[in-house]
Amino acid sequence: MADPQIAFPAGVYSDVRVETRSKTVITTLNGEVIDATTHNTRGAFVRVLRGGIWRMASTTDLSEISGLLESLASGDDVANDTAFDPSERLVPHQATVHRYQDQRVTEISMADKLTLLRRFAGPVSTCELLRQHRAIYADFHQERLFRSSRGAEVRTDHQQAGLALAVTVAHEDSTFSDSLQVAEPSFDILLDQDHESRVGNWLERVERYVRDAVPIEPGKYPVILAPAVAGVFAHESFGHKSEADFMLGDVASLESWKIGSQVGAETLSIVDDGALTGSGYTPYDDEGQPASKTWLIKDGLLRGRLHSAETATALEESTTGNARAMNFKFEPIVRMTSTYIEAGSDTREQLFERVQDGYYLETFKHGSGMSTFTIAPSLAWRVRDGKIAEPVRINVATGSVFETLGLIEAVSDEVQLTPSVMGGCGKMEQFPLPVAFGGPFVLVSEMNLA
Amino acid sequence: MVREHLIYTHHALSIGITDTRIASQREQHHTLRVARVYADGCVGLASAYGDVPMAALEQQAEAALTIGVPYAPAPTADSTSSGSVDHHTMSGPDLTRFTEDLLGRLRRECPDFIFANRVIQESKQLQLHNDRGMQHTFRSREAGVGLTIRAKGSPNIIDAAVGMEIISPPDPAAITRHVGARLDRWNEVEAPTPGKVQVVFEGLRTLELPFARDLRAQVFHSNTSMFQREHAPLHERFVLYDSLAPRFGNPAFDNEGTLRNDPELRLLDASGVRSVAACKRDALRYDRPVTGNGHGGHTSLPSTAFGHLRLGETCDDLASLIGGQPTLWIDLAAGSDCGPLGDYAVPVAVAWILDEAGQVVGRTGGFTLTGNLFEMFGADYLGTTVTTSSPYSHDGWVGTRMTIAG
Repeated sequence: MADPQIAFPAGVYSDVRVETRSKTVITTLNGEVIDATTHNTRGAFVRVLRGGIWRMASTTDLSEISGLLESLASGDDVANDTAFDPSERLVPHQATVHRYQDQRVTEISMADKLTLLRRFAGPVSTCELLRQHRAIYADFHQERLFRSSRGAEVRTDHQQAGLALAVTVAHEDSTFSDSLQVAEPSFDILLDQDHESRVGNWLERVERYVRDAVPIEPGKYPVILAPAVAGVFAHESFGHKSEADFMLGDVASLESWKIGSQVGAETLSIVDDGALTGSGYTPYDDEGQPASKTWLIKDGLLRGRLHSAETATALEESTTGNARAMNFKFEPIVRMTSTYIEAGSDTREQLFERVQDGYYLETFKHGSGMSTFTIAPSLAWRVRDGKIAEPVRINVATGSVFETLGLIEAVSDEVQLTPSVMGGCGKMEQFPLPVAFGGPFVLVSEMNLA
Repeated sequence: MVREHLIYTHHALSIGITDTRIASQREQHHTLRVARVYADGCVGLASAYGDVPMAALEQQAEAALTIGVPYAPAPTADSTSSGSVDHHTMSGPDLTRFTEDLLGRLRRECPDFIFANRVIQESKQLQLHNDRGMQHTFRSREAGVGLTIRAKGSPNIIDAAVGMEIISPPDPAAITRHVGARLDRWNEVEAPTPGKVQVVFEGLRTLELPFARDLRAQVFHSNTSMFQREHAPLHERFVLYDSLAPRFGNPAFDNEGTLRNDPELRLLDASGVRSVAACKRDALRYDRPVTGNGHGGHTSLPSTAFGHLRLGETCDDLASLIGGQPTLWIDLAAGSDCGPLGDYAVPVAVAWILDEAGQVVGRTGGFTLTGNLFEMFGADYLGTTVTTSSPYSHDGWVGTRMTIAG
């Protein structure tokens, strides 16, 4: 498709982001296809910086772009127009980073996608306690073109194919729901995986859980977080705090959030990295700035923040490649990409051996974080003498974020990232934005469980 | 073959706010076109943003028929409606001036807090029609103020949030007083006391999860709904509705074109389940009445969901609801969960302490509220007010008793 013609107005900084996206979703409910749709989008988001304020518009008529830019450059003033100029942080890069031009998911037939989905969900036929199941195949391919009045021209693409399975099982008076998802950058990689074993093993644990899970005595315990749970903890409890727009205008917060402060155990390092393949892949952000591996915490010390041009300018720091927009209708704001706890030195087995009596949180329903975090576990197990024992029902794991960061005793030696197949991260009105989160297995010496 | 078109037009003016100042102005104007084609018990769908010819989308939708997505019910025929809701709206410059005025007042009168997010004004039009005589149109014009609030120096990314619909010509001074009425008590902090406590919520949103999950035809068919089990009786004055009333911004028709003659669908009361939500597909599949609950994003096929869950009113106002008893107003909950048997866990970040008259006198938070649905809306149910929780809301106060976990 030809690039649109863009005439930037004189005397102001302006930029344009053109996005082309194709998305396919196939859903089965109890084996019956209930939805199979493809949605295509091509649109543009334009920004003009005038009087320290962004004037913005989105459109699906790409012939309108130059006219919109001109209109935004000459509109009404706002009372608190200032000399604030975030564009000074925007380096005009020229780059093309196309990784997904071959093996496009758009070239795979719907029939082949449905066949893979049925194969993925196939093991449910052996699940005796199954009451219902919903399986989803979801993919997208997108291309973005970013241009600015200062000569930036950045072309990127991104792609993902994913599968998700949600089941409800019941045994006597107990019911239990859990879900599993997997995603890869291409359909072929997804096709080649042993889904039968993965799904079959998971369903065995789910059935054992609904049959045998017992409630716990609420209290404080040593807890091992599986990579997905560790990841949601890092994302919700610390990742959002690292988004610099939350600190604007608050000198006291900046002082208490000083780079170099001790915020966690020495075993703890948390990173955000847009260059990683996966749901959070952002080689250049939506302001044309390159991805960077940003340590939020390194060896327990506060090391950095996530920025857009606006926040970087306000806080006199550098951009980090974290200005992202959900789609062409929205402006870029500070968002995470792939956020994870870095690996340590223990093997998974060594980590578990540290726990004589505690719990293991394997999957979660949701998590949230203020100064107190909350994780709603799904699959959870007692750990006795270093081994996973009986399944347990835990309603909530909670605690002070900073206390818990300081109680991280050990982390294992391999990181796993959890993708966003259907959902993603929400911030203000922009939900869902694909992100990835994860970590190794993490041992917290004490956590509140109820 | 039946051909169906859905056209959704959305125009929005938005003023972005950062650090209690205008940081951006944004205009969005999009048209979404959707074509659905029904033939031989199957359906195909194609959609796109922009000026894409509907004939092209119909061709794509016909091609999608080969996937064989079953759609057994007959497409809606010979059904027409036209509805609208017009709340107060302003021109672009007036919206900016209103925002400047409001933010200036907040900077002066709430200097210890930082406000962010946006003021937004939207105009939406939904058209749904087919070649079998279905013709539905709904138009809405709405405006609102959504503010996140942080106390300066707070370790939280958000300390409180305020969402206000601009229903009538907005008065920035009154809005500032409305926001300030609670923030003035920000520093009057008390530690939470474990045990049972009287609580109120603005509407049902924080507590609606188990109803939205378990009152659907598919869940009933799998026999996993908590409302199918034996449970403690619900309060005699408890009534749960799914509302498609225009004041909540909903058309009276769903995305399958089913028109509800009465926008209020009675779902649950003390006598038990009165309706189970079912779109046309689920109604046929699970042998249930069609209830006009075919919702979902327009780019996918409709599925059973809800418009606006609300409770039937039982008393006039907040003072009569709380009956002169100490009460907590649960303002900001960091998520909420409800187990399969109705056990809630609501992590509360911010709650306001109310006096006997319902005035804010202090703040607490950082605790988890627990309770079982059948007690909370049974023996412990206080009621729901006619008076809305604020001049900027359509929902009344919902009162009950829950337990602050120790």
